[in-house]
Amino acid sequence: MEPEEYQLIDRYLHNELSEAEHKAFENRLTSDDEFAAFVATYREVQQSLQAKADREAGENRLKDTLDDITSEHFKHDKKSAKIISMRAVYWAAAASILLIISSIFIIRQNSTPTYNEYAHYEPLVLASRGDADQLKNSAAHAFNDQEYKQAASYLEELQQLQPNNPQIQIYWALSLIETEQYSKGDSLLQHVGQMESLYAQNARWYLALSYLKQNKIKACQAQLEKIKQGELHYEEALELLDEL
Amino acid sequence: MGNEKPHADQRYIEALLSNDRKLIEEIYAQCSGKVLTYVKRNNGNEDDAKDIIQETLIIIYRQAFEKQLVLTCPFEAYFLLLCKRRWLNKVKEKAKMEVTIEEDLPSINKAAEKMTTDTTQYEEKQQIIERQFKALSDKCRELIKLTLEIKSLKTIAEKLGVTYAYVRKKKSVCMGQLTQLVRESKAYKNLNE
Repeated sequence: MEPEEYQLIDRYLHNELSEAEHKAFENRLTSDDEFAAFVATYREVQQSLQAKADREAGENRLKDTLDDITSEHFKHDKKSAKIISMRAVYWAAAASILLIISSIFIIRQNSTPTYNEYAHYEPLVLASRGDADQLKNSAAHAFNDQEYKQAASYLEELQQLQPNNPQIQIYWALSLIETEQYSKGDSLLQHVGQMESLYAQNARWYLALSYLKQNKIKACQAQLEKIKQGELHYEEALELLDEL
Repeated sequence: MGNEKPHADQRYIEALLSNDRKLIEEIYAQCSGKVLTYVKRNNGNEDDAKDIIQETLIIIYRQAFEKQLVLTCPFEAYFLLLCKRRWLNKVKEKAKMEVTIEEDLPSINKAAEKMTTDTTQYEEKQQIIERQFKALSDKCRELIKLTLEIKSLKTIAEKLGVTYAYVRKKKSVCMGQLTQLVRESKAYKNLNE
Protein backbone atom coordinates (compact mmCIF):
# COMPACT_ATOMS: atom_id res chain seq x y z
CA MET A 1 0.00 0.00 0.00
CA GLU A 2 1.23 3.47 -0.86
CA PRO A 3 1.87 6.16 1.74
CA GLU A 4 -0.75 8.31 0.04
CA GLU A 5 -3.32 5.63 0.69
CA TYR A 6 -2.46 5.61 4.36
CA GLN A 7 -3.08 9.31 4.47
CA LEU A 8 -6.42 8.90 2.74
CA ILE A 9 -7.48 6.30 5.27
CA ASP A 10 -6.40 8.50 8.12
CA ARG A 11 -8.32 11.45 6.76
CA TYR A 12 -11.35 9.28 6.17
CA LEU A 13 -11.30 8.08 9.73
CA HIS A 14 -11.07 11.67 10.95
CA ASN A 15 -13.87 12.76 8.65
CA GLU A 16 -11.62 15.11 6.79
CA LEU A 17 -12.53 13.94 3.30
CA SER A 18 -14.66 16.01 0.96
CA GLU A 19 -18.04 14.68 0.03
CA ALA A 20 -16.84 13.35 -3.25
CA GLU A 21 -13.75 11.77 -1.74
CA HIS A 22 -15.86 10.25 1.01
CA LYS A 23 -18.26 8.67 -1.46
CA ALA A 24 -15.45 7.26 -3.56
CA PHE A 25 -13.80 5.85 -0.48
CA GLU A 26 -16.95 4.11 0.67
CA ASN A 27 -17.49 2.65 -2.74
CA ARG A 28 -14.08 1.17 -2.61
CA LEU A 29 -14.80 -0.33 0.78
CA THR A 30 -17.77 -2.26 -0.59
CA SER A 31 -15.98 -3.50 -3.69
CA ASP A 32 -12.44 -4.14 -2.40
CA ASP A 33 -12.50 -6.69 0.44
CA GLU A 34 -8.84 -6.52 1.22
CA PHE A 35 -8.92 -2.78 1.33
CA ALA A 36 -11.91 -2.91 3.63
CA ALA A 37 -10.14 -5.37 5.91
CA PHE A 38 -7.07 -3.15 6.03
CA VAL A 39 -9.12 -0.11 6.89
CA ALA A 40 -10.90 -2.06 9.60
CA THR A 41 -7.58 -3.06 11.18
CA TYR A 42 -6.26 0.47 10.87
CA ARG A 43 -9.31 1.71 12.69
CA GLU A 44 -8.89 -0.99 15.35
CA VAL A 45 -5.27 -0.07 15.93
CA GLN A 46 -6.07 3.61 16.13
CA GLN A 47 -8.85 3.00 18.61
CA SER A 48 -6.70 0.70 20.71
CA LEU A 49 -3.81 3.11 20.95
CA GLN A 50 -6.08 6.02 21.69
CA ALA A 51 -7.90 4.15 24.43
CA LYS A 52 -4.61 3.17 25.97
CA ALA A 53 -3.53 6.78 26.21
CA ASP A 54 -6.93 7.97 27.44
CA ARG A 55 -7.30 5.43 30.22
CA GLU A 56 -3.78 5.74 31.58
CA ALA A 57 -4.68 8.02 34.50
CA GLY A 58 -7.76 6.03 35.46
CA GLU A 59 -5.90 2.77 35.15
CA ASN A 60 -3.15 3.96 37.45
CA ARG A 61 -5.72 5.03 40.03
CA LEU A 62 -7.32 1.61 39.81
CA LYS A 63 -3.96 -0.10 40.17
CA ASP A 64 -3.26 1.87 43.33
CA THR A 65 -6.61 0.86 44.76
CA LEU A 66 -5.98 -2.77 43.88
CA ASP A 67 -2.57 -2.68 45.52
CA ASP A 68 -4.12 -1.27 48.68
CA ILE A 69 -6.93 -3.78 48.80
CA THR A 70 -4.59 -6.68 48.03
CA SER A 71 -2.21 -5.88 50.84
CA GLU A 72 -5.07 -5.45 53.31
CA HIS A 73 -7.14 -8.39 52.19
CA PHE A 74 -4.32 -10.88 52.24
CA LYS A 75 -2.88 -9.33 55.38
CA HIS A 76 -5.99 -10.45 57.21
CA ASP A 77 -5.11 -14.01 56.37
CA LYS A 78 -1.64 -13.40 57.67
CA LYS A 79 -3.19 -11.90 60.80
CA SER A 80 -5.14 -15.02 61.46
CA ALA A 81 -2.02 -16.99 60.83
CA LYS A 82 -0.40 -14.86 63.50
CA ILE A 83 -3.29 -15.54 65.82
CA ILE A 84 -2.97 -19.21 65.18
CA SER A 85 0.68 -19.16 65.95
CA MET A 86 -0.01 -17.20 69.13
CA ARG A 87 -2.40 -19.97 70.08
CA ALA A 88 0.33 -22.42 69.28
CA VAL A 89 2.57 -20.51 71.63
CA TYR A 90 -0.01 -20.70 74.40
CA TRP A 91 -0.40 -24.42 73.87
CA ALA A 92 3.32 -24.91 73.80
CA ALA A 93 3.65 -22.95 77.05
CA ALA A 94 0.90 -24.97 78.69
CA ALA A 95 2.41 -28.19 77.47
CA SER A 96 5.85 -27.31 78.71
CA ILE A 97 4.53 -26.27 82.11
CA LEU A 98 2.71 -29.56 82.32
CA LEU A 99 5.88 -31.32 81.33
CA ILE A 100 7.85 -29.52 84.00
CA ILE A 101 5.30 -30.31 86.66
CA SER A 102 5.12 -33.93 85.70
CA SER A 103 8.86 -34.27 85.56
CA ILE A 104 9.11 -32.75 89.04
CA PHE A 105 6.51 -35.25 90.04
CA ILE A 106 8.47 -38.05 88.47
CA ILE A 107 11.65 -36.90 90.13
CA ARG A 108 9.82 -36.85 93.45
CA GLN A 109 8.51 -40.32 92.78
CA ASN A 110 11.97 -41.46 91.99
CA SER A 111 13.08 -41.04 95.57
CA THR A 112 10.80 -43.90 96.48
CA PRO A 113 11.92 -45.94 93.50
CA THR A 114 15.36 -45.42 94.90
CA TYR A 115 14.12 -47.15 98.00
CA ASN A 116 12.74 -49.89 95.82
CA GLU A 117 16.03 -50.19 94.03
CA TYR A 118 17.75 -51.02 97.29
CA ALA A 119 15.11 -52.79 99.26
CA HIS A 120 15.83 -56.34 98.22
CA TYR A 121 14.97 -58.68 101.04
CA GLU A 122 16.54 -62.03 101.26
CA PRO A 123 13.82 -64.62 101.24
CA LEU A 124 12.85 -65.67 104.71
CA VAL A 125 13.90 -69.16 105.51
CA LEU A 126 13.14 -70.25 108.99
CA ALA A 127 14.87 -73.41 109.98
CA SER A 128 12.36 -75.91 111.04
CA ARG A 129 13.28 -77.44 114.30
CA GLY A 130 10.12 -79.13 114.99
CA ASP A 131 8.63 -76.34 116.97
CA ALA A 132 6.09 -73.98 115.49
CA ASP A 133 6.91 -75.29 112.04
CA GLN A 134 3.54 -74.49 110.66
CA LEU A 135 3.73 -70.95 111.93
CA LYS A 136 7.22 -70.62 110.54
CA ASN A 137 6.02 -71.85 107.21
CA SER A 138 3.13 -69.45 107.14
CA ALA A 139 5.34 -66.58 108.16
CA ALA A 140 7.95 -67.42 105.58
CA HIS A 141 5.42 -67.86 102.84
CA ALA A 142 3.62 -64.67 103.73
CA PHE A 143 6.79 -62.64 103.79
CA ASN A 144 8.21 -64.07 100.61
CA ASP A 145 4.88 -63.50 98.88
CA GLN A 146 5.11 -59.93 100.05
CA GLU A 147 2.00 -60.27 102.13
CA TYR A 148 3.57 -58.17 104.82
CA LYS A 149 0.53 -57.58 106.98
CA GLN A 150 0.04 -61.30 107.41
CA ALA A 151 3.73 -61.86 107.75
CA ALA A 152 3.88 -59.23 110.48
CA SER A 153 1.26 -60.94 112.56
CA TYR A 154 2.80 -64.38 112.11
CA LEU A 155 6.23 -63.08 112.92
CA GLU A 156 4.92 -61.28 115.99
CA GLU A 157 3.60 -64.58 117.21
CA LEU A 158 6.89 -66.24 116.44
CA GLN A 159 8.76 -63.53 118.22
CA GLN A 160 6.76 -64.23 121.36
CA LEU A 161 7.60 -67.88 121.01
CA GLN A 162 11.27 -67.26 120.31
CA PRO A 163 12.12 -63.86 121.73
CA ASN A 164 15.85 -63.96 121.11
CA ASN A 165 15.80 -64.79 117.48
CA PRO A 166 17.29 -61.86 115.60
CA GLN A 167 16.21 -63.30 112.28
CA ILE A 168 12.60 -63.28 113.35
CA GLN A 169 13.02 -59.83 114.76
CA ILE A 170 14.47 -58.47 111.56
CA TYR A 171 11.84 -59.94 109.36
CA TRP A 172 9.11 -58.87 111.68
CA ALA A 173 10.61 -55.36 111.56
CA LEU A 174 10.69 -55.48 107.78
CA SER A 175 7.08 -56.59 107.65
CA LEU A 176 6.17 -53.72 109.93
CA ILE A 177 8.08 -51.24 107.80
CA GLU A 178 6.43 -52.50 104.67
CA THR A 179 3.10 -51.91 106.33
CA GLU A 180 4.28 -48.48 107.43
CA GLN A 181 4.48 -49.23 111.12
CA TYR A 182 7.76 -47.45 111.22
CA SER A 183 8.28 -46.69 114.89
CA LYS A 184 7.94 -50.33 115.94
CA GLY A 185 9.94 -51.55 112.98
CA ASP A 186 12.71 -48.99 113.44
CA SER A 187 13.10 -49.70 117.12
CA LEU A 188 13.34 -53.42 116.46
CA LEU A 189 16.06 -52.85 113.87
CA GLN A 190 17.89 -50.55 116.21
CA HIS A 191 17.78 -53.18 118.83
CA VAL A 192 19.16 -55.86 116.56
CA GLY A 193 21.63 -53.41 115.08
CA GLN A 194 23.39 -52.92 118.33
CA MET A 195 24.82 -56.44 118.34
CA GLU A 196 27.91 -57.58 116.54
CA SER A 197 26.42 -60.30 114.39
CA LEU A 198 25.73 -60.54 110.68
CA TYR A 199 22.13 -60.06 111.55
CA ALA A 200 23.15 -56.80 113.16
CA GLN A 201 24.85 -55.70 110.00
CA ASN A 202 21.71 -56.50 108.07
CA ALA A 203 19.61 -54.69 110.63
CA ARG A 204 21.71 -51.55 110.36
CA TRP A 205 21.28 -51.58 106.58
CA TYR A 206 17.56 -52.18 106.76
CA LEU A 207 17.19 -49.36 109.20
CA ALA A 208 18.81 -47.00 106.76
CA LEU A 209 16.38 -48.22 104.15
CA SER A 210 13.51 -47.64 106.49
CA TYR A 211 14.57 -44.05 106.99
CA LEU A 212 14.84 -43.72 103.23
CA LYS A 213 11.33 -45.04 102.80
CA GLN A 214 10.12 -42.50 105.31
CA ASN A 215 12.01 -39.82 103.44
CA LYS A 216 14.15 -39.13 106.51
CA ILE A 217 17.15 -38.47 104.33
CA LYS A 218 19.44 -37.08 107.02
CA ALA A 219 18.71 -39.99 109.34
CA CYS A 220 19.29 -42.36 106.46
CA GLN A 221 22.62 -40.80 105.66
CA ALA A 222 23.71 -40.93 109.27
CA GLN A 223 22.70 -44.57 109.49
CA LEU A 224 24.51 -45.43 106.27
CA GLU A 225 27.70 -43.96 107.60
CA LYS A 226 27.56 -46.40 110.47
CA ILE A 227 28.12 -49.23 108.01
CA LYS A 228 31.80 -50.00 107.96
CA GLN A 229 33.93 -51.44 105.24
CA GLY A 230 33.82 -55.21 105.16
CA GLU A 231 30.39 -55.29 106.64
CA LEU A 232 27.37 -56.51 104.81
CA HIS A 233 25.85 -54.04 102.34
CA TYR A 234 28.86 -51.74 102.52
CA GLU A 235 29.02 -51.15 98.74
CA GLU A 236 25.31 -50.58 98.56
CA ALA A 237 25.54 -48.14 101.39
CA LEU A 238 28.20 -46.19 99.57
CA GLU A 239 26.13 -46.14 96.41
CA LEU A 240 23.09 -44.96 98.24
CA LEU A 241 25.07 -42.32 100.05
CA ASP A 242 26.24 -41.09 96.68
CA GLU A 243 22.73 -40.88 95.36
CA LEU A 244 21.41 -38.98 98.28
CA MET B 1 -25.21 -7.72 22.03
CA GLY B 2 -27.24 -4.59 22.70
CA ASN B 3 -30.39 -6.62 23.09
CA GLU B 4 -29.18 -8.44 26.15
CA LYS B 5 -30.24 -7.08 29.47
CA PRO B 6 -27.33 -6.25 31.73
CA HIS B 7 -26.97 -8.33 34.86
CA ALA B 8 -27.42 -6.81 38.31
CA ASP B 9 -23.69 -7.32 38.80
CA GLN B 10 -23.03 -4.66 36.15
CA ARG B 11 -22.34 -2.41 39.11
CA TYR B 12 -19.03 -4.22 39.58
CA ILE B 13 -17.97 -3.26 36.08
CA GLU B 14 -18.98 0.32 36.84
CA ALA B 15 -17.02 0.08 40.08
CA LEU B 16 -13.83 -0.70 38.19
CA LEU B 17 -14.39 2.20 35.82
CA SER B 18 -15.12 4.66 38.60
CA ASN B 19 -12.57 3.24 41.05
CA ASP B 20 -15.25 2.49 43.64
CA ARG B 21 -13.20 1.01 46.44
CA LYS B 22 -16.02 -0.44 48.48
CA LEU B 23 -17.45 -2.44 45.62
CA ILE B 24 -14.03 -3.59 44.50
CA GLU B 25 -13.43 -4.84 48.03
CA GLU B 26 -16.62 -6.82 47.67
CA ILE B 27 -15.15 -8.47 44.61
CA TYR B 28 -12.13 -9.46 46.64
CA ALA B 29 -14.24 -10.70 49.53
CA GLN B 30 -16.36 -12.85 47.24
CA CYS B 31 -13.88 -14.15 44.72
CA SER B 32 -10.31 -14.08 45.94
CA GLY B 33 -10.65 -17.17 48.10
CA LYS B 34 -11.74 -19.29 45.20
CA VAL B 35 -9.00 -17.98 42.96
CA LEU B 36 -6.45 -18.68 45.67
CA THR B 37 -7.69 -22.23 46.03
CA TYR B 38 -7.54 -22.85 42.31
CA VAL B 39 -4.08 -21.39 41.88
CA LYS B 40 -2.70 -23.34 44.82
CA ARG B 41 -4.19 -26.52 43.50
CA ASN B 42 -2.37 -25.94 40.24
CA ASN B 43 1.21 -25.33 41.30
CA GLY B 44 0.76 -21.74 42.37
CA ASN B 45 1.11 -19.75 45.56
CA GLU B 46 -0.54 -16.76 47.21
CA ASP B 47 1.54 -14.22 45.29
CA ASP B 48 0.56 -15.84 42.01
CA ALA B 49 -3.10 -15.58 42.99
CA LYS B 50 -2.72 -11.91 43.94
CA ASP B 51 -1.20 -11.17 40.53
CA ILE B 52 -3.84 -13.10 38.64
CA ILE B 53 -6.64 -11.26 40.40
CA GLN B 54 -5.13 -7.85 39.75
CA GLU B 55 -4.27 -8.56 36.12
CA THR B 56 -7.73 -9.88 35.40
CA LEU B 57 -9.41 -6.88 36.97
CA ILE B 58 -7.21 -4.57 34.88
CA ILE B 59 -8.12 -6.38 31.70
CA ILE B 60 -11.81 -6.15 32.50
CA TYR B 61 -11.32 -2.46 33.21
CA ARG B 62 -9.59 -1.92 29.87
CA GLN B 63 -12.23 -3.71 27.87
CA ALA B 64 -15.00 -1.89 29.72
CA PHE B 65 -13.25 1.42 29.05
CA GLU B 66 -12.67 0.87 25.37
CA LYS B 67 -15.59 -1.27 24.31
CA GLN B 68 -18.37 -0.86 26.90
CA LEU B 69 -18.56 -4.22 28.59
CA VAL B 70 -22.04 -5.54 29.36
CA LEU B 71 -22.43 -8.42 31.80
CA THR B 72 -24.85 -11.12 30.77
CA CYS B 73 -24.03 -13.40 33.68
CA PRO B 74 -23.02 -13.10 37.36
CA PHE B 75 -19.78 -11.25 37.76
CA GLU B 76 -18.27 -14.00 39.84
CA ALA B 77 -18.76 -16.65 37.17
CA TYR B 78 -17.16 -14.44 34.54
CA PHE B 79 -14.33 -13.31 36.78
CA LEU B 80 -13.44 -16.76 38.09
CA LEU B 81 -13.39 -18.26 34.63
CA LEU B 82 -11.10 -15.52 33.41
CA CYS B 83 -8.75 -15.97 36.35
CA LYS B 84 -8.58 -19.71 35.92
CA ARG B 85 -7.84 -19.45 32.22
CA ARG B 86 -5.26 -16.82 32.87
CA TRP B 87 -3.48 -18.99 35.43
CA LEU B 88 -3.58 -22.05 33.21
CA ASN B 89 -1.98 -20.08 30.40
CA LYS B 90 0.78 -18.93 32.70
CA VAL B 91 1.45 -22.46 33.84
CA LYS B 92 1.58 -23.70 30.26
CA GLU B 93 3.98 -20.95 29.31
CA LYS B 94 6.25 -21.82 32.20
CA ALA B 95 6.27 -25.41 31.14
CA LYS B 96 7.00 -24.26 27.57
CA MET B 97 5.35 -27.25 26.10
CA GLU B 98 1.94 -28.71 25.65
CA VAL B 99 1.08 -29.59 29.19
CA THR B 100 -2.03 -31.56 29.79
CA ILE B 101 -3.36 -30.05 32.97
CA GLU B 102 -6.62 -30.89 34.61
CA GLU B 103 -8.64 -28.15 33.03
CA ASP B 104 -11.23 -27.93 35.72
CA LEU B 105 -13.26 -25.42 33.75
CA PRO B 106 -16.72 -26.85 33.34
CA SER B 107 -19.00 -25.07 30.93
CA ILE B 108 -21.84 -24.57 33.34
CA ASN B 109 -22.53 -21.01 32.36
CA LYS B 110 -22.65 -20.40 28.62
CA ALA B 111 -22.98 -16.67 29.03
CA ALA B 112 -19.91 -16.59 31.26
CA GLU B 113 -18.01 -18.61 28.70
CA LYS B 114 -18.93 -16.22 25.91
CA MET B 115 -17.95 -13.22 27.95
CA THR B 116 -14.68 -14.83 28.92
CA THR B 117 -13.85 -15.67 25.33
CA ASP B 118 -14.59 -12.10 24.26
CA THR B 119 -12.34 -10.70 26.96
CA THR B 120 -9.59 -13.15 26.14
CA GLN B 121 -9.73 -12.19 22.48
CA TYR B 122 -9.75 -8.54 23.39
CA GLU B 123 -6.60 -9.00 25.43
CA GLU B 124 -4.87 -10.97 22.72
CA LYS B 125 -5.56 -8.28 20.13
CA GLN B 126 -4.30 -5.68 22.50
CA GLN B 127 -1.09 -7.60 23.03
CA ILE B 128 -0.51 -8.01 19.30
CA ILE B 129 -0.89 -4.30 18.71
CA GLU B 130 1.43 -3.48 21.57
CA ARG B 131 4.03 -5.91 20.31
CA GLN B 132 4.01 -4.56 16.76
CA PHE B 133 4.07 -1.03 18.06
CA LYS B 134 7.40 -1.79 19.65
CA ALA B 135 8.64 -3.00 16.26
CA LEU B 136 8.15 0.46 14.76
CA SER B 137 10.99 2.89 14.33
CA ASP B 138 11.75 5.23 17.23
CA LYS B 139 10.54 8.24 15.27
CA CYS B 140 7.24 6.58 14.44
CA ARG B 141 6.65 5.54 18.03
CA GLU B 142 7.37 8.96 19.41
CA LEU B 143 5.21 10.68 16.87
CA ILE B 144 2.28 8.40 17.40
CA LYS B 145 2.57 8.85 21.16
CA LEU B 146 2.48 12.59 20.69
CA THR B 147 -0.59 12.47 18.48
CA LEU B 148 -2.37 10.40 21.08
CA GLU B 149 -1.65 12.89 23.83
CA ILE B 150 -1.92 16.12 21.88
CA LYS B 151 -4.91 15.95 19.61
CA SER B 152 -3.92 19.02 17.65
CA LEU B 153 -1.42 18.17 14.95
CA LYS B 154 -0.73 21.84 14.51
CA THR B 155 0.62 22.05 18.03
CA ILE B 156 2.77 19.02 17.43
CA ALA B 157 4.16 20.56 14.23
CA GLU B 158 5.09 23.67 16.16
CA LYS B 159 6.66 21.61 18.89
CA LEU B 160 8.79 19.61 16.49
CA GLY B 161 9.53 22.61 14.32
CA VAL B 162 8.07 21.06 11.21
CA THR B 163 5.14 21.72 8.96
CA TYR B 164 1.66 20.54 9.71
CA ALA B 165 1.59 18.72 6.40
CA TYR B 166 4.71 16.80 7.36
CA VAL B 167 3.26 15.71 10.67
CA ARG B 168 0.01 14.72 9.02
CA LYS B 169 1.68 12.61 6.42
CA LYS B 170 4.21 11.06 8.79
CA LYS B 171 1.58 10.05 11.28
CA SER B 172 -0.52 8.30 8.65
CA VAL B 173 2.45 6.49 7.25
CA CYS B 174 3.48 5.24 10.70
CA MET B 175 -0.03 4.12 11.52
CA GLY B 176 -0.28 2.41 8.14
CA GLN B 177 2.95 0.56 8.79
CA LEU B 178 1.72 -0.52 12.16
CA THR B 179 -1.51 -1.76 10.66
CA GLN B 180 0.46 -3.71 8.13
CA LEU B 181 2.61 -5.33 10.80
CA VAL B 182 -0.43 -6.28 12.80
CA ARG B 183 -2.20 -7.79 9.86
CA GLU B 184 0.85 -9.80 8.91
CA SER B 185 1.46 -11.17 12.39
CA LYS B 186 0.73 -14.83 12.87
CA ALA B 187 -1.22 -14.29 16.04
CA TYR B 188 -3.58 -11.85 14.37
CA LYS B 189 -4.19 -14.23 11.52
CA ASN B 190 -5.00 -17.00 14.00
CA LEU B 191 -7.45 -14.77 15.77
CA ASN B 192 -9.36 -13.85 12.69
CA GLU B 193 -9.74 -17.31 11.29
